[in-house]
Amino acid sequence: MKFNSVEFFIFLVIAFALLWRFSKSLKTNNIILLVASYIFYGWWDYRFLFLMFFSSLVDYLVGLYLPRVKNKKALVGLSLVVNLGLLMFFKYFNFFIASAQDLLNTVGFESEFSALNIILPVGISFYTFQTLSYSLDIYKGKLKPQTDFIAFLNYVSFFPQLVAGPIERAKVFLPQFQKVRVFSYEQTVLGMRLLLFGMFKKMVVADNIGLRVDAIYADPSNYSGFELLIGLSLFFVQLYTDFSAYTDIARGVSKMLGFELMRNFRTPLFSKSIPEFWTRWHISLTTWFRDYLFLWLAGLNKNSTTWRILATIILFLIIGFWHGADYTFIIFGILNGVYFIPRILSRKNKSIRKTLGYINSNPTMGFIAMGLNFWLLSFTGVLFRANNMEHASLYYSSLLNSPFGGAGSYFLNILPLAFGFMLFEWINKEKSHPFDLETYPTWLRRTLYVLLILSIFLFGYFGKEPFYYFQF
Amino acid sequence: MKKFLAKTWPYLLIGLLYVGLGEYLLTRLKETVPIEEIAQEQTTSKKELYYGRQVLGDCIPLYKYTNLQLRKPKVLVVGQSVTLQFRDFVFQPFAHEFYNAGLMIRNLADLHYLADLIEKGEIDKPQFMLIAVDLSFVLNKTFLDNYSLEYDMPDDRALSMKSHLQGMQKLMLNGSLRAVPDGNYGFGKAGLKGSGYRNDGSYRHKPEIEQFVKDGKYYDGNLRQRLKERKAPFIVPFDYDPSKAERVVETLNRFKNEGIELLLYIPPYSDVFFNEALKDTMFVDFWQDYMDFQQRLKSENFELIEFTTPARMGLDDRFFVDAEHPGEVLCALQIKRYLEENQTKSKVLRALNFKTLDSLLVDEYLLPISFLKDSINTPFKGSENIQKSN
Repeated sequence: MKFNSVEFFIFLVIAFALLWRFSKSLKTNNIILLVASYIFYGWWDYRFLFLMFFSSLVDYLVGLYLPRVKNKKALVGLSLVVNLGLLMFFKYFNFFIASAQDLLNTVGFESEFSALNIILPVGISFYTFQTLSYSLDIYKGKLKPQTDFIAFLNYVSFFPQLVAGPIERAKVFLPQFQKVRVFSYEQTVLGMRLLLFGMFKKMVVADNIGLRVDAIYADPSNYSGFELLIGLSLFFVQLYTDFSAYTDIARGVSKMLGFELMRNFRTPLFSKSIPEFWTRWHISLTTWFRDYLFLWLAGLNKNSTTWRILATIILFLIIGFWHGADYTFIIFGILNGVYFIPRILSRKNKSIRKTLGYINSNPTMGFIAMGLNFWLLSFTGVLFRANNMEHASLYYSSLLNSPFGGAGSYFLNILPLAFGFMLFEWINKEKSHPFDLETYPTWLRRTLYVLLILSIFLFGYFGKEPFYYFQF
Repeated sequence: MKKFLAKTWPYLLIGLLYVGLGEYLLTRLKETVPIEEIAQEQTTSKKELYYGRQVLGDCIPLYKYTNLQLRKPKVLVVGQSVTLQFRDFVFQPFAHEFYNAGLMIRNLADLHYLADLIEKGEIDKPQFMLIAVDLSFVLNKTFLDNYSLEYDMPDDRALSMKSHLQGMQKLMLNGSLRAVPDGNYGFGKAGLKGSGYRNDGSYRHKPEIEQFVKDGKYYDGNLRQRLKERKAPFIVPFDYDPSKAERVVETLNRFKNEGIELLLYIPPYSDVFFNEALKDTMFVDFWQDYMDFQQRLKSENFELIEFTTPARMGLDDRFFVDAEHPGEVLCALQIKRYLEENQTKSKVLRALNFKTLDSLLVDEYLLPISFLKDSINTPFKGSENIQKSN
């Protein structure tokens, strides 16, 4: 079930009513929540419910037995094998088969492996990481095992954040299923506000930009160099608005149901450097990789700058690959790792550190850095959006097309919307959320609500556009 | 909770009011009648009713497929848009057992699937089929191959809330709240006075007919320009595909093996376009192969209306809706001429009588582009108009 669908609204109203009607009994409430989450997920393909249940069951049992067994490594290894195995099979099997075949053919072996017709279960990259973090935290002794199976199943399948995060940690999130939830007017209003803003961001901003981006990526060679430049920057804005809209809706719905999810974005479009960007973008994923992979990887040779650079590149290669099974994502990841080199070198080089410090402290330089960073990410983002390397190369080479001509007004008339949205984010960047209206007078707040609702109806895209991150 | 509900409902009301108003407008424009119900009504009702589909979209393959299943016609026309001008009265005495399913199939795979459906009995076997063997059937690259009747049958938009919301946007932002029924676009009566599909499945081109009534001129619909610019359907490589040709023959034989009488139709072009196209080497290379394929079909004993142009029939381009779409008068004349000039084995074709057609051909309302008789909103007489344009 997609958030931007009529079914979801009906579903949400029913779930909201039932959950608060039976809020006094935690057990009943958790069971209702679990059923709701499984209905939500099964709406796509009920067969994958078994997969999610299986993954949950494995980690629940692993967590339960970890403190009791001697060979903890073997047991946590089981969790890794099962979760990553499922991910590998559903997401990467065909990629590896095709790559192996290419390799064998290159070295002169005739081979013909056949790819399987595998459907990628929605949200598998997210919930497997969430369950994994649970087992790893118990293994490290940071967390005690959960004995309430229903609460654990809810932790894995909680419908607002199930398919595209934020990837929550058990330590913070699991306890929320173990205490009776009390209705709070303020929290619910805040939740509805996030929900409304998320819907607006998705349906009015992201999807309308996405239509233009899709058109330009369908055949880049047909567009002028100028339009392609605009197109790649628009994709970056689309990606941000689309994904952050999902997070807003997830956080909003969670608040309405009495739960708190972590922030996943902190105005990343205005980052002054790539390292800063990755602390503001998809925070739940980057902190996951930091905690469970990078700290261990970097710790293998703490004093070596070269090793730290290599570890960073490996980390981003994996982050890139997490997004999708294609060389485009691998190169996207490697490039992002490479962009970290100045920051890593600055640890031991005073002049680089001084330069980076100057850029951060000087407003003009900071503004220039922000612009350059935006364009660098937009350029790299072509790899993220392109269907394959050939498509990405076509886009990059088409940038050399004549700068004038092309599709014209249809394409460019979306720019005021994109700029307007970025301006709004900029004005509100210091707030806990751009749509934090607490300080606004009541009349203005209410007018904004009405305007947003009408904008969604009148200008929202009601086609088949799913959230971009659903494919991961 | 009470405070929350009290403060929230005005906002929900805004949404409900918007949707309520939108639904009212859509219903008033008769856009919301489901395809199934339209087809049912059109099959059983004797009079033409109006169903609008300008806002929600027409879901044509579904509309035609549903009609085909309900009507079980004895005489069936299938093919792409070039077949949409074949009218029921041309096929007297089978006018009441006729259905034009033009645009239900859009490519060779669809034709193949239609053969499957008939073999499986999911569609009742017609006694006679007129099949347009469009050049795209043997083209190696055509955008039409992106469609699929089997895998991509459109949903009925009247039953989709999202489509309703899209429709409301169109109405609120661009639409004039027009009078009802205005017959602008849709099914049934819309096919008599607007742009739309008549009860027999054929299509009426309102803007082209009304333009013709005004100036009596032929318009080629930019086909020459599209050929020059290599735009659809002339996308490079514009090559003949022998393997597709084999599949065409194989599929046609499947219909034949079911005992269905076939009349194949190689769609004509206007002279203005065709003469220009013959100067284009890419087109000529393909055309030679396509004409060889036409010969092959004839040699394999398929009855076939060969490629022609109006000049070859002693007519002119004004009988075309545009360069690639023959008008209904030309289509009717092609059937008539075929039977005058050829011996047919088809029982259906042998049984045809052209009394109605003949009377319409001498009717004062006749225009080259349209019979006009059933165009109840157009007061012009065809003969006056033809004289004017001459």
